[in-house]
Formats: sequence, structure tokens, C-alpha cells
Amino acid sequence: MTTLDMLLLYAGGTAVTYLARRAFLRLPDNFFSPRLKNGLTFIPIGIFAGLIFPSIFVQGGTLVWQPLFLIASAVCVGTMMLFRNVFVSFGASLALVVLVSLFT
Amino acid sequence: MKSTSYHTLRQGILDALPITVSIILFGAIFGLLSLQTGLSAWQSVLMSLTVYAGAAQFTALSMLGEHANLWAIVLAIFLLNSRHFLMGLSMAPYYQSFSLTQVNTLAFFLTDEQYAITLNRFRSHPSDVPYIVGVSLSLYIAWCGGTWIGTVAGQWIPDPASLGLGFSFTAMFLALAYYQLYSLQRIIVFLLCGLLATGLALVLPTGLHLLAAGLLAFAIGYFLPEKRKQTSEEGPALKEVETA
Repeated sequence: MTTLDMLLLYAGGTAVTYLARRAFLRLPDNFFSPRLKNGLTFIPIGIFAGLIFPSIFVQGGTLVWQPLFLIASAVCVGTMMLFRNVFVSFGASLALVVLVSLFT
Repeated sequence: MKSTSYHTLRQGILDALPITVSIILFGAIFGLLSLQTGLSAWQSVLMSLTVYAGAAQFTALSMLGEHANLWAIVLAIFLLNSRHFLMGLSMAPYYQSFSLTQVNTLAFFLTDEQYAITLNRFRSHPSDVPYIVGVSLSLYIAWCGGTWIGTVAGQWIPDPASLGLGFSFTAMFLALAYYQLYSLQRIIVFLLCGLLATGLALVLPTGLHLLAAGLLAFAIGYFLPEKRKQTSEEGPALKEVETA
């Protein structure tokens, strides 16, 4: 690819990424009915599930069994239930994965 | 007023801190791989500065390595980032009080991590620009700085996979998702969406399974509204939106 092609690629990539992020970020006030608002409060659940589950169960387009990630996920949720602190939960579960990865 | 802005900006930086280290590392991996693909250092950093979309950039690299058509790469970036349509939609109520310039500027920084961290904040605090700026700049500098580090010192970067650091994103999303799961209906939706996303991730290009999971969750929330009062946790933020 020439330099011009690369710059075109960056311009195109930037434009489509920005479009997806900006498109619905600002909507008219009267757009939000109570029912729509309720639907919107559910979107994060789907997004989080879509980010979390495949990262545990899918690798390179195939289904995988990763007991370490499952146990660390349980530790993450367990510490959240106990302490309700994202830092503690994040740190404890990640520390477990890093330590086990280092010594196995 | 200024001290409040400074406080929330600082809080945004602090809240982004746990994931910042991982983003620097993954940015560095991107920088290293882009050199191996044949990009120069400035081309690598420029891509991070402009496109600013981790998964899409890795995909673009892979396609560049296979000499794919320019517009095919742009289309792949679009499909990968289509999930941001839904993220933007779910964040829209919190951005209603911001000026058009602020919304136009902040939209550039709406990544998965920024979305997760700011959404968690606005669950219990009114939405405010300095907080989003604090989170956004931390993540942006980490990603672009990491890319630069990768181009100059790639050979000394530890392999994140061998250290299990890929789990850092899962851990952060899981900890933040916990606050969303305060009713049986929401837990069931979470599991259903997880099942759907996992199944689709096996057959669809990255990104689309996320869009499908978000749409399913939205449809359930829209057609089967929860029969309960809003929790005190989400109350203040939504109330602020209604009165904005």
C-alpha cells in the first residue's frame, strides 16, 4: 500500500468508527419514552455479556475450556459480593490468573 | 465549581487506572505487530491516534498482512465497531445535558472500556464532562503511548498471553457488570445474552455477536419491562436525565 492508501485507510477507519460512536449519542429529549428508557437500561447487560462470555469460552473461533478463567471469574464475582469494590475484585481475580500463569 | 471539576476529572483518571496498565501493554503489542506487518513507526502511532479502536486495529493489521483491499478493511472496521451504535444509544440519556460540541468531541473516545467505566459512575452520580474526560484521556494516552512503546521497545515487552493479562479486560467487565445484575430478570438476560454471544462468536466476525447480545437485551427490556421500582443505585443518574 502506498502512503496515500494508508492515509485513506486511516481516514475511512476513523470515519466509520466515529460514525458508530456518535450516531445515537445525542437524541432529542422527547425521544426517551419510559419503555424505551427501560430497554436502554438493559443494553449494558447484553454488552457486558457479549464482552465477558466469549472471552472466557471462545478462542481463535473455537470453543475452549479454561478452568483458570472460570475460577478467576468466580473469585471476581465472589469478591464483588463481599466487598462491592471494583478495585479489590479486579485485583484479586487478575492476581490469581497471573500467579497461576507464572508458576505453571 | 472548578474544584468539583478537578475532583471528578481526577476521579475519572483514578477509576481508569486498573485497566490502563493492560491497555499500555496491548497497545505495545499492537505497535510491535504493526512493525512486523510492514508499517513504519509513525504509521502505527498515527493509526492509534486516529482510528483509536483496539480490536479493529488488530484486524486491520491482519488484513494488511494479507494484502486485503483498502475498502474491505474499512468495512471490517465498521462491522467490528457496529456495537458502538448500541453503546452510544444506551449512553444517550447521560449525554443529554452536554453541549453539541462536547458530545461531538467525547464521541471519539467511546471505547468498550470507557463505556463500562463511565456507565458504572453514572449509575450513582450525575453525568459530568470532566469525569468522562479523565477516563477518556487516560485510556487514549495509554493506548497511543503503548503503541509508541511497542514500536521502539517491542522486543522487551512481555507476552500478555503468557502472563494471563488478557483476563484483565474480562475481570474489569465482570466487576462492573455486577452492578447491573440486581434482579433475577437481569441475571437471566445476562446469561441468555452470554449464551447467544458465545454461539455467535464462533460463526460471526468479531463485534457482531456483541451487537446481537445488546439488541437481545434491549428487546427484552423494551417488551418485558421490569415490574418494580427503580433501585436507589440507578435512581439519581436517571432522575438527572429526566430533569435535564
